[in-house]
Amino acid sequence: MLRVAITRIGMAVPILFGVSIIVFLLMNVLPGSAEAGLVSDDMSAAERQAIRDELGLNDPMPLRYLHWLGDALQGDLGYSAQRRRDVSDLLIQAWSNTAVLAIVSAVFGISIGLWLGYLAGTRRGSLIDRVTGVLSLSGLSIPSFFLAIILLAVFAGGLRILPSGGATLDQGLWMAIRSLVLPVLSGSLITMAITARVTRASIVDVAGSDFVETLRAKGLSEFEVRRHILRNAISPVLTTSGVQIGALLGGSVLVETIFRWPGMGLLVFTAISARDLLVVQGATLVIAVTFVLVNLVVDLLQAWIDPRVRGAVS
Amino acid sequence: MTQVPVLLDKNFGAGTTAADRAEADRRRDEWNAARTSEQSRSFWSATFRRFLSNRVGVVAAVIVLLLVLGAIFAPWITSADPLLGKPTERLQNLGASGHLLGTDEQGRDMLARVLYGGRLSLLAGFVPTLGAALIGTTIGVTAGILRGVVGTALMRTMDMLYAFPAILLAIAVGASLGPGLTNTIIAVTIVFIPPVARVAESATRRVVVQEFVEAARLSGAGRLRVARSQVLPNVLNDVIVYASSLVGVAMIIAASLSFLGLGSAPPAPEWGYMLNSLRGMVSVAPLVAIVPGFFIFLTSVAFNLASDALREAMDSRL
Amino acid sequence: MRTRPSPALSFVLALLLVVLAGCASAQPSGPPPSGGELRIAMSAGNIPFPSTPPNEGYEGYRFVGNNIYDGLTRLNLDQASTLPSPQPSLAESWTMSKDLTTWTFKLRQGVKFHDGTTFDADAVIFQYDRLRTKTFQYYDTKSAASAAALFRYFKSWRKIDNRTVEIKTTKPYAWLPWDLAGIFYPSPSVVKQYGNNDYNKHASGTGPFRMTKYVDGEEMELTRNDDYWRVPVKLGRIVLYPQPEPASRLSMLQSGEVDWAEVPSPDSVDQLKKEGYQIEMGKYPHGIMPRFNMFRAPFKDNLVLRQALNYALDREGTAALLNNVGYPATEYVYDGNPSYTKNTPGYSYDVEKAKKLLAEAGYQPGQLTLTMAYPTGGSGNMYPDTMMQKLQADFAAIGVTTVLKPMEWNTIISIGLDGLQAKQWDDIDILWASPAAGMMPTGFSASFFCNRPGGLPNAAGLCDPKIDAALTAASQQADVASQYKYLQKMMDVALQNAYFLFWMHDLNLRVVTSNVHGYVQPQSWWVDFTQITVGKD
Repeated sequence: MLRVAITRIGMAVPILFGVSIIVFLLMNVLPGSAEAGLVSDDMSAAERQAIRDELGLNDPMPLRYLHWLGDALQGDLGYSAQRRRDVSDLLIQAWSNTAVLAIVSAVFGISIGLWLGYLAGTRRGSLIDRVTGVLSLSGLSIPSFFLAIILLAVFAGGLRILPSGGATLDQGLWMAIRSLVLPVLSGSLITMAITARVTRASIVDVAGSDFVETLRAKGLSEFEVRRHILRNAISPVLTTSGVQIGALLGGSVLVETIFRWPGMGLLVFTAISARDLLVVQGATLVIAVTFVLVNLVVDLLQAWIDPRVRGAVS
Repeated sequence: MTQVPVLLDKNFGAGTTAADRAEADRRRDEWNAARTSEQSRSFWSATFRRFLSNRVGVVAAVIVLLLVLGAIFAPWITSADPLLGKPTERLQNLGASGHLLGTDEQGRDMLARVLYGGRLSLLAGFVPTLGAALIGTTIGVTAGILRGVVGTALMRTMDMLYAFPAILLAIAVGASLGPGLTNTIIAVTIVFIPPVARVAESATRRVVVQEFVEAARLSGAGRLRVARSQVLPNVLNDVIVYASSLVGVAMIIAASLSFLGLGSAPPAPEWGYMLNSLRGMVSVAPLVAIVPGFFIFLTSVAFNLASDALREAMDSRL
Repeated sequence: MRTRPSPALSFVLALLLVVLAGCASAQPSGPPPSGGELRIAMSAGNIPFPSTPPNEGYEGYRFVGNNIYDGLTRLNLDQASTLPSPQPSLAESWTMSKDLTTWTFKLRQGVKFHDGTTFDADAVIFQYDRLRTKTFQYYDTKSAASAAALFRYFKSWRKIDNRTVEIKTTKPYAWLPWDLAGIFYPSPSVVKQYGNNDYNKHASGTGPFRMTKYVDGEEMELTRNDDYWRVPVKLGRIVLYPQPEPASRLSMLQSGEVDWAEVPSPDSVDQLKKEGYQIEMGKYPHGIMPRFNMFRAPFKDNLVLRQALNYALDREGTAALLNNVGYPATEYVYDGNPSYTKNTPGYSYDVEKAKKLLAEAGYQPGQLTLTMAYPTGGSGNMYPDTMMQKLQADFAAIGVTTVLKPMEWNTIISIGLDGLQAKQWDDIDILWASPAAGMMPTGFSASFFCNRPGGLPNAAGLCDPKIDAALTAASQQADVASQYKYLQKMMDVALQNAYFLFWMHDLNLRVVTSNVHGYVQPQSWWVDFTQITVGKD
């Protein structure tokens, strides 16, 4: 078990390096200048170069990357001149906002998805199966921003019972819930849909397998059989849940843009537009690390639950 | 563990519900057919027949076909100009004279924009999927067969890209390449290559350990021949099923990029872009404002249903 | 349903509630103070920094700078009939030398900073050194960069006595009072106590509002300064929210989250009016005046082509598309602005004339293709998407093809800094521009001078000695009327030579709830918040 963990972590490290290089390259290919927001029309060329020097923009690319990497490994992700804050400061604020949204969406989406998928899988062909099928199909097919626009128009614009955006997380539980409802609904639907589908498929798969037939043949009650089905079916659900949680933690740019949720997705998007290179690099690194870590946890959980997987991993 | 192919009698695997029994019947027929007949040609015709028997899948496929035809034959369906409109006729509602789907904020006919926009959206759905399927399969199969250092290196690189949430990677690539449909397509292709590669690689690894591949290798066939004749057909099944589910997702990612301003430049009638530009009109002309979103939804549903039916039709013994 | 993973689920739910409860620890801001609380949805992408000067362009001045701080001069924003111009503020009065290079300011007595310390000549010198003297202990690099434009003609400054300051300029410069309206003074004690890097969290000025809450990216709260020196402040509190999406600003207004929304989508105006909101619009110095690339063909040395395109624009049609929140421009500044010239006729919509001029310029229909760069957003840009598609259609109607190049606002700003002769931008024929046309005479220098004050050439390649002469002369006239006479002459030259696409003037759309009283819409980008109240009649 420990060997598995170490192997996985070991494989994650070069991935993270690769991620940081990719991000660095991408950002430095963008047109438009990183110092545009900081210089004025009246500055001479020399003054502008001085600002670029200060931002470190005049050094060759590999050097800049190494500087940044060196600092990042020591916990210093740099200072955003445009936002006049330490990048890590910005990230902590954005990450905690995204985390709240992601955790609530994940819990909501996954638990309902599990429940519906379970019902559908164990009652194949029934009404609940069909309804779940339709719901998960819709959840997969509807773009989150479209759903968000409709929800906004109905609840915030039309009925005016919910705020149109903003994360009021520090004004009491009730305000927090109010501001979470629409973003969570928009963002968790796809999680719900995917989880329901995977659960259903997995349960059907296991339920139809020889192993379950054997259990039945051995005389176990239907109830016990179902318990075994669930335990064995959980593995692929874990994997997709991990991917979903990782994606949610990465911050949904679309949901955050529409609802003005000051999280990681919105931060990265605005930083890309503003050419705030350090913020983009730091934020994507954090997002990628989160994603890798979540998948790692999921892999380890799977290995723990399913001994067959343990062997396959090494 | 070796297994002697055994023919099954009709009491094998009887389950508790009618659906279970029907499924068991189907599987048993499959099993028997596979053991007693030639595989390739009848596999596809069998798949096709099975697909046709799935009513929902057929309806979905028909919808897809209609949308594709509508996009291709747009100039014959409507004479309105999707790019130029009369400002005096802006934001007319559905069913207005001469404008079946109303007009947008510039007075352009929505039906025309949706049909012509379908070209862009369908392209943005199909091309990246095809591209990613080709490239991803190549990478995955290579990694699965070669294994060792090369295989690991390839898959780790895929993991690096996979470590990004899809939309974020698309935005990053889209922003660095610049706006435009081509760049959007490239961005979405890049986003899809890792998952396809993963599917291909895991399918390859699974197939490679099976008996008939061992047997072929032992019989002296070179690795490339083994790859082509034994591995590829089996892997392709998985890839096709997976890729078909990606078309809808590709469309949505492309629409998201346009929604965020990174896709086709105006006045191109890309659905995602239209949804964004009509967003402010939701309180003024709600039905018109949701038309592009509705079409994204409809196309996506149709693709998902069709791909589901395809998967079911292709799913045989494995 | 024992078989469901219920223990795990309940654990996670419990965890969730704990997380949320934890977030619920901080207290809300308390009941609205007397005079009311004004909540504003800004079009800026982030809260402007409460620094000196603020960022986020003129929106930063409007909502943050002018509320927390004062300058030596201020614009009289409490009236709507004339263009606001420099009035005494922290400087009670001033005299200037005959040659307009030496200015002596008498500072107002009894003014205190928000932290209680006194405003005096030392505070003024402190700030000038902080922004200009690199060797000064409290020199602030970041603020210095953004303030550079305002100090462009400062040569030296000295304290004469506790209430007198003398400023010398590098050349005769009549417009110093305009620049001074944008130079703010922080409390030196606060700067010394927290240092420049942390100053923003504790910003302290002499202005009508004190900063009482600041969450970067989310909101800023400004509370009435009860000891304000100029007038009793009626408004109790201002809360600022950044929201770059017009549709979202509209939702915030309709859902009751804000009382004041900047520039909502123009189509919502009719509905908002019906629902009882106050629609504020009025002429003010803001226009969309794209710049021709004068570095090369087709616009260099081709006056008739530039005129042809000006006649090809259906300005009324564009305004109709925007539900008339803007109106056609005939020249660079609006009619009512002191720089407006009546001597030369402006441009109008005349397709036949446009076609004729196009032919004269040497192009048959279909022969000319132009590339135009414009921003996809950015505050103060009106509605580029809609407008550009209309422009494309208008040009197509006379046989000119326009290739649209949408870019991020940041990139457009870069182009304005790099210039159109820079290699990466030299394929652009027309560059979008949304100047505060005529708000301050000092604002013309970047777009009109042959060489920008920093020494770099005009970003669009405009270089006309007659314009240079007129603009320079205007800046050296002691009396205001003569200044504007020269500026009008400059506008004549610009019109006759069609150096810009004279397109639209903006009408400063903002929407406030019926609860908001006392708001005066000035002919300016800035607003006086002191006399506003929010509450039932």
